[in-house]
Amino acid sequence: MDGDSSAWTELVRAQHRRVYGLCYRFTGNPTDAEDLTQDVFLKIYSNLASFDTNRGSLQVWITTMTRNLLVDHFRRTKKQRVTSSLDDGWESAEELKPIDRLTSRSVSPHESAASNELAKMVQEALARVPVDLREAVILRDLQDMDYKEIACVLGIPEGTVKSRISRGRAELARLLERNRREVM
Amino acid sequence: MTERNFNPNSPACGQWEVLLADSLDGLLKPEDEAIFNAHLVACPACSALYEEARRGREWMEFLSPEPEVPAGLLDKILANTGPGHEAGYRLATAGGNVIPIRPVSIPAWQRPGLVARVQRYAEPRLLMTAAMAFFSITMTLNITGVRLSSLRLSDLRPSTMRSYMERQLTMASTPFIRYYDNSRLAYEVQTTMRELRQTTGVGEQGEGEDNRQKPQNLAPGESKQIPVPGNRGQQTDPPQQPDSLAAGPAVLPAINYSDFLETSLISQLRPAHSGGSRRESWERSTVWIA
Repeated sequence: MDGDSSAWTELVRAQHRRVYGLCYRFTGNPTDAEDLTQDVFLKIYSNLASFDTNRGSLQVWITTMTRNLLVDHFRRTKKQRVTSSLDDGWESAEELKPIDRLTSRSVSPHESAASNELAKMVQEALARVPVDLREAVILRDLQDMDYKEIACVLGIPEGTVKSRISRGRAELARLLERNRREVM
Repeated sequence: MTERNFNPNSPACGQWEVLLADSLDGLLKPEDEAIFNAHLVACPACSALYEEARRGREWMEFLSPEPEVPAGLLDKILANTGPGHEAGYRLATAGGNVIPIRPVSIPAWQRPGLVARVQRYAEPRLLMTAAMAFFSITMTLNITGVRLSSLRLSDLRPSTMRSYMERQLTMASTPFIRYYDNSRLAYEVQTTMRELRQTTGVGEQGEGEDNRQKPQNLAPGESKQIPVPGNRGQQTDPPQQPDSLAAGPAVLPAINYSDFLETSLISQLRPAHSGGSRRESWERSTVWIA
């Protein structure tokens, strides 16, 4: 890719949505996600020479760099971060309780809008899941990576990856259920 | 739903937890299925975890659509990176030639992320540590007499530092040595006077009460006027004694000459802090001058 402008453009075009999605799901903030995505590609571009195909796929390499930047960002902003309450989101969805909507799977005239609201609530709840569980869940459920790839990205054993995924999912459900009870 | 935190309380629960992800993702092997289901039925805690994890996985499906990428993000990335980024630094001339210009290196304080990096280390805990270290170093330098403004590279040589430290130690120890020498002189004089006293035998008689009236605060130099033994009574009449000090002569005849000499020397070593009154001092001086 040395000096090949079209190859780099193609790479950015193919990967920037996935990188942005990962950043957005991890931070829950579109502005931070946009800045972090640019930082990720800057880092990728400056470290292209260090990419080794024998050590993993390009996707795993990019995901690893993204994850490392996200963890750095998380630690940097730990004290400044203000976790917003989930109450606002729940109060805005007045027509049908989200858990009922999820279990009933009924079709409503405002399904699309309600789905967006639910996605917002889940996103806010996901931002409150502990970071080590959150990253495992995101990589598995949103990035469709297999356990081996996740283990490579996170640098932990595969069994630990599975354990964190299960705990992260359970924690997310607990957070949403707890908030639902508070609203009701 | 019960509110609890899952903590594997047995190896079976820990092993089952690993299989849980496989089960929910449809990747559970047939040979593990029986073990997984058996434990799921037998362990209430793991059964509750299974339900929560299943619901959590379903919640995550709401986030499966990729978030909308902000407009212009791709252009921003390409503008900041890639070979095209360097093309921005080329200068087109009128003749159609392109003069490449080396990218301007951005100073460290202008690079992105510097402020965040500074903020990370600008915690009060670290700042206080740095401040304490600074004050400690400053105090140490002040105490040792080191001035940074007059410090030269040659001063940092080991031999120079060693000689400097030796000089400082000598200067610090000089007062102590001087004090010790003075004390030694005082003891030597005392011992000499004691020996003189014993030799002359004067101190053997009649000095029981007189010795209690030793002068405490004699002026230096009085020891030159030592009275002749046996004639001490004649020297106790001051020619002109002030009225306020009339009681002086009554005491002085009983004072031993060797006592005067001894205390006079001691008072030289303790100039103004011996505690005696000025009046007594004056009395003794008067006696000896007469």
